[in-house]
Amino acid sequence: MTIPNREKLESFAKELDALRTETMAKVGDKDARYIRRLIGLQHCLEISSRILMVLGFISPALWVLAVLMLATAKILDNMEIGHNIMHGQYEWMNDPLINGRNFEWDIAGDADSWRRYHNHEHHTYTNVIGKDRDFGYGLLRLSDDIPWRPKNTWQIITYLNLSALFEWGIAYHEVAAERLFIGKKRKNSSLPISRRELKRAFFSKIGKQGFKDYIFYPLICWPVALQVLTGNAIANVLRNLWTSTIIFCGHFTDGIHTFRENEIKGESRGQWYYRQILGSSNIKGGKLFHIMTGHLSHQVEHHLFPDVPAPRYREMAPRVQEICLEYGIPYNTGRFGKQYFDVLKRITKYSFPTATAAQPTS
Amino acid sequence: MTKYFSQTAPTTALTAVYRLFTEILFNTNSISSYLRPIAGLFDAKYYNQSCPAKVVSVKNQNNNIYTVTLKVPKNLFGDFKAGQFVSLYVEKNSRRLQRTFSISSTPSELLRHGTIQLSISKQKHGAITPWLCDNISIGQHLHVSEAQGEFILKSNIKRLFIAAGSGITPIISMLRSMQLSELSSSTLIFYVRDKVETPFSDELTSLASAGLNVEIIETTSQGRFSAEHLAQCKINLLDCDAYLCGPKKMVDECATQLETLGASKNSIYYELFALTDNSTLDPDHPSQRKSEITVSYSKSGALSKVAPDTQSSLLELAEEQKLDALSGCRIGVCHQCVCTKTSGRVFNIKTGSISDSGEEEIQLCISKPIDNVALAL
Ligand code: FES
Repeated sequence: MTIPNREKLESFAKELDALRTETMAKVGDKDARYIRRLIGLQHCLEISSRILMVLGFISPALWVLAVLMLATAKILDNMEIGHNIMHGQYEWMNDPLINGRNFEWDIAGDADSWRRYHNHEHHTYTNVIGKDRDFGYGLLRLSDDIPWRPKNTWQIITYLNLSALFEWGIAYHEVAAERLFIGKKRKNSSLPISRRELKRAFFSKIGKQGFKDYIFYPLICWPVALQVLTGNAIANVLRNLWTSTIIFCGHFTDGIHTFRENEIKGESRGQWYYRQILGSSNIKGGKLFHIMTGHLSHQVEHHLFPDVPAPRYREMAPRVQEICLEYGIPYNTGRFGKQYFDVLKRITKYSFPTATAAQPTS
Repeated sequence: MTKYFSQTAPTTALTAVYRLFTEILFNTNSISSYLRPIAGLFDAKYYNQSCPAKVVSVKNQNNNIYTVTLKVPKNLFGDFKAGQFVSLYVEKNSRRLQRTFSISSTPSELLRHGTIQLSISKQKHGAITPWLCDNISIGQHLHVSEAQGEFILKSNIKRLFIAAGSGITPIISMLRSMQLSELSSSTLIFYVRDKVETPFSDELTSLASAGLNVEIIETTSQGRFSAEHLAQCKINLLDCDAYLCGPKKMVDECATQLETLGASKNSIYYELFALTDNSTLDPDHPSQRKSEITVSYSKSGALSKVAPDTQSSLLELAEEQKLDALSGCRIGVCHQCVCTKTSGRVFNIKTGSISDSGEEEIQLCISKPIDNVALAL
């Protein structure tokens, strides 16, 4: 994908900047009340789901309800709360309780590690092949830019596994990039901590998370340990499936574009915006749906304005779409079913060598 | 600097276990930070972790200065010495902003009523001081840090106090807490713009009748500090301690003059009253206001001195000093470089806006200093 030159995109960038300024001027009490109440409610939901899980022996229906509640609590914590706070969307509040630098979440991946690779690598180099390792996670071939390998043939299965185990993928992401356990040490690593510290943080977080859901809670509820253990496991998997599905719909639908490293050299702000839009896709839905996706259903707006409080994306979206129309820039959005179908199509399509594909060199 | 943002407590084996436990179960380092958002659903005051201070009364000292009386919880606030200051945290449109103010009441009032008083002067372009005066309501909760500062009374009871304008606040606390014998061996020279508008005039009258030598000087008619003013009060500079409080210029001038008149450097104590509440001041020509900007890094003790029109971001400045500042994208996207700025204003290169002057979180890679800035690095 070639990017238009900077002059063409200058006024486009100005309009988006203006939209951001206008929105940030409105941000205040309403946004603070929202996130604070959501955190409070999420904590209540988590506590009650853990209690209800134990009461599951009264009726299986209660247990099912508890599992769904726990999965919901985890989804809210990871997406609308954790993801957004860690992007610095609520930094303007200067509230130590809602601090993006200290936030830790209910998921196997260490938050510090995620902050490093997600906020920097993925958000700065969105869909730049070789730079944004979120593009296919090093497991899937999702465009012609990546040479076909035999293992791609069954990548739909790989994808389903990745989806179900998504949190472990998140945990392993940076460790894999730094080739901590397998492969040759990364040459130009920008890791600000030592490899030992990274290893420690990795094991510490997965240890804590595993201990909590699979040892601690089952043990203190001993007579019903199995019921709690399976309940926790299912809740975690449900959360994994949901988050990965939403994220795939945001970056790997049919219409999204990829970029080459040499195209982004000396990129202007307008070009950066342009690339963010073409690398993302939205999902249409109601307010509750948007909240449950952490507003990643507005992936386009999120990539343009990663640190604007996410609930504001809903009101920004129509304007962004208008601006895109004005400049003839494709704005990718659709209903969930369509977007997800597109994702599956893409995964299958690139399972096989395509005519124009570069051949593997070795 | 304040206990507000720091959460370090001495680690014993027990606290380490407790912390590990809360990290495992709640992903935070204390149960209270997990429970506070729940309690906050019922009463917003629980969101805060600093010391909640309930507004008991608000009283105008004059057109410009108002005194806020705050009830503080004893166990959290601790105590203070006359002359010290606190950080006050207020939420304006849910943005937590911080300013420092001297306490104008006495330690014994804290003991008896559990209250402290802050006397706040409204600064013309301030984001907080005029706004707070209009928006404060009795019963509301503000938040304060513990008391800080080295400007406190020393043992020598022969004292000369020189205050200008709102620089009277820490001094009035000192005077109010002094014994009769101390008062009668001390002098206050107080510079005001207009005598009619003298803040704390009632207190000053009663302090004078208790024996304090009070000299109120109108700067408009009688000029700034000079040897004659001192001569009027018949003070022997050689055996008394001097306490100065006011704007930097006034304090500097007084200190040099006192020294030339024979006071020893070691017996001069001072507190600078910077215009801290100036976040909306026009920064158009910063170069005309200052020839040099200092960026200080409180954790490492390092300093950078730069020209006011510097093109370097705070991140680059910190890196020049070899401080270990985190960074990622360097274009304001990733928030890896976020750091606590304890004071001073910065210009945001990305949004073109100017920050508040108090303590807050900023992104170093897109911030340029426009005042002297202090960073927690
Ligand atoms: S380094 Fe990425 S926001 Fe500053």
